[in-house]
Amino acid sequence: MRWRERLFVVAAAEVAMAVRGRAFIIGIMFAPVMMAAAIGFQRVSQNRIDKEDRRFAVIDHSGVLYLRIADLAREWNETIARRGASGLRENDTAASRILPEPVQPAGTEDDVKRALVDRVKRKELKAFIEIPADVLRGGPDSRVRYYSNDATETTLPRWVETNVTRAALTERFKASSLDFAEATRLTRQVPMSRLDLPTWDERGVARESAVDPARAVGIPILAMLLLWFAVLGSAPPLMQGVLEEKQSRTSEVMLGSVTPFEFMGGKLLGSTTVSLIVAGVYMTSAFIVAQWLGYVDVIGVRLIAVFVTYVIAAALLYGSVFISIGAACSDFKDSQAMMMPAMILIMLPVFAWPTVLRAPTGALAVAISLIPTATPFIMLPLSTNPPGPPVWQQIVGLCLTIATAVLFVWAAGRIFRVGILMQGKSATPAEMLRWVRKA
Amino acid sequence: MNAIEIRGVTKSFGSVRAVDDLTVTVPAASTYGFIGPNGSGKTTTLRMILNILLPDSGTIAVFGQTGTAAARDQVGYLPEERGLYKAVKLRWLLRYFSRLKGKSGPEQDAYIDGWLTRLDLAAWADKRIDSLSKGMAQKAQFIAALAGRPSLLVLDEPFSGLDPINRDVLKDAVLELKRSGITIVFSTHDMSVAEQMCDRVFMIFRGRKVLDGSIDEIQATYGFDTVRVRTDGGAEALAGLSGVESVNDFGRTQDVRLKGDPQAFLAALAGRTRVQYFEVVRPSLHDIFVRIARPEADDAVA
Repeated sequence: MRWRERLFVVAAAEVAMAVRGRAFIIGIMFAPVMMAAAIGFQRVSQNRIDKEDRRFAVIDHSGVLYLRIADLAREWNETIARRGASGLRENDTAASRILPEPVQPAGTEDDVKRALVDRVKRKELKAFIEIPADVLRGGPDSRVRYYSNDATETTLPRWVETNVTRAALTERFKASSLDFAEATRLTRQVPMSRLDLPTWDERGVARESAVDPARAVGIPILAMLLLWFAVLGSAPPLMQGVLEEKQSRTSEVMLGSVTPFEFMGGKLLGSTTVSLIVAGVYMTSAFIVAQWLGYVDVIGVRLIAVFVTYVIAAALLYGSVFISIGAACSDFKDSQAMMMPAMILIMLPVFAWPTVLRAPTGALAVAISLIPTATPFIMLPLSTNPPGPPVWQQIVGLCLTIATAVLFVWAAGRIFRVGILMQGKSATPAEMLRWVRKA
Repeated sequence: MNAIEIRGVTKSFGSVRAVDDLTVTVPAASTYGFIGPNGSGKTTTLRMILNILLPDSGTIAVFGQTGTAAARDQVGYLPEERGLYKAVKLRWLLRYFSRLKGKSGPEQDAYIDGWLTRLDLAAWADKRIDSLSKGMAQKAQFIAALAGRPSLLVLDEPFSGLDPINRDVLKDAVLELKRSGITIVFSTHDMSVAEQMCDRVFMIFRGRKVLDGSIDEIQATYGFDTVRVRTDGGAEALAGLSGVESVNDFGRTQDVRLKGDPQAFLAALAGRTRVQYFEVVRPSLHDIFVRIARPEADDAVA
């Protein structure tokens, strides 16, 4: 029997052992279900109407702003009441009543603040603010002080900042005899619409469409996560499988029938196939969802080819890293410790993604996209947005990734050959390196 | 043709020489015992025969083929440390091992079913491995070693951990394989197994061959220097008797290694206690093993 046939027999068995049973189904569903649950929770929590009153005290050293603030709060509360009556759902800030109250000076400034602190602690107030006397002069150091014991609260601070500014501006314009409405019109910002490049149909009619954040950001991130899940679904389990085979001595039985190279190669081929199956399931699901949401044009033949190529490259690359760790370790504790650097390697592209997204053609983004262990996770999402990275960048990235995958597989073969028969003691990284050099 | 030809093989791990200039020939269709204490180089030798490890120097030929895994499909291996995939069904696993040896199809399935029936595992064929008892798993492992229909079967401690009934079942299976012309290599610490089942025995000690031949040939080299006795006084009656080199006490009987005339020893013993049984015997393989592998011998070899 030829070595290639044995390799495929091992690979087929690996796939069969991996995909049979409920564990695989649960595993394959886990990632998208968790992702959907996270998105769903975010949407539900965004739509939740926060109706908690925001009562706060105002120490107004200017002597004129409080009444304006009270007016603005009244307008705000009336708007909420109207919207509530007409049954409109609003975001969380729109449904909370704002209830300012003036602070009457009594005793020293310290005494006043102490009394307010007690009221905040007793939850009678959400916060208290202190407006400086020179607020109407508009000096650079003139700022409102907001005191509270709730650092995560955003509704009230945001309202206070906006409306104290509005009140102060109104008073400033009034003091300078300028028409506030006219000044507002003259200083209004010029809005901008972000559009894709226009296209012309066969009749010469131009078509314009606004940049879709879902296409620009959502789809690339989704593509990266799908690739990530496809690789994570097979590479770390490969390490666990090898370690279990070592501990149960199944590896010795296997080595009576196949060479270490056939054994490792078959396992790697099997896990890559599992990655492709997982990727296929995710791609099919993504296609259905994309069709439903009107984004099906994104999933073209080119993108599928790029996706499959990077799934194979990443699965081989990371598979060989994890299989080496499994072969070199003798217990799960050691393998967990050695797995950490590999996991960091696999996480790095996710951390680097915001930088790449901000300036995809910048030198830093290009450099990151050419690091072989990051290339699949960076180049794939970039490819989802036409025209994608330049051809030279894609070719160089792919060649470097393939070369690194070949190098990693070769090194893993040498580590595997020695490590798989070693019992009782886990290898150190230095020993693994020595095996690679001398095996 | 010889099944295995090992010529001047040496294998070291770092500074430790596990196998040192080893030469052994295992004729085809023979049953050969590989014996030796723990750490003597037995498993390393077996692994080199199976091409799991490569020798540093020397050659190993399996059915005339050297240096490659070409003979791998003709070899079945039952390792000492049993290990099977636990989450798969028995029949699936045996078919997997068959395919690894290039055997598949209805005829092969019938062959596997035949062995499952022969070893009382037919009812468990579609059960997961982790539901099998230890004895069943050991028999399953034995069938896995046979799955490729080997011409050479390497069995590392095949009977260890088995109850007497399963031991007999497996022993009969091995004898049947022997009769069918399969070469069988036993690696064992159980000297009675080697003595009863092997045509020839090879002993390795500290990486070197120290015995090689048939049981008769090996025992002949040690002569008739042992007497087996049963007395009223037991082992205590032997204390201080002239000519006694060592005593292997089995409780009811004692094997005594003598230096001198057995008749003079019998007369002296009869003067101490009533002698129920007295026989001049050749040393057992167990005795020979112990003589070679005892700590003093270890020092001598070193």
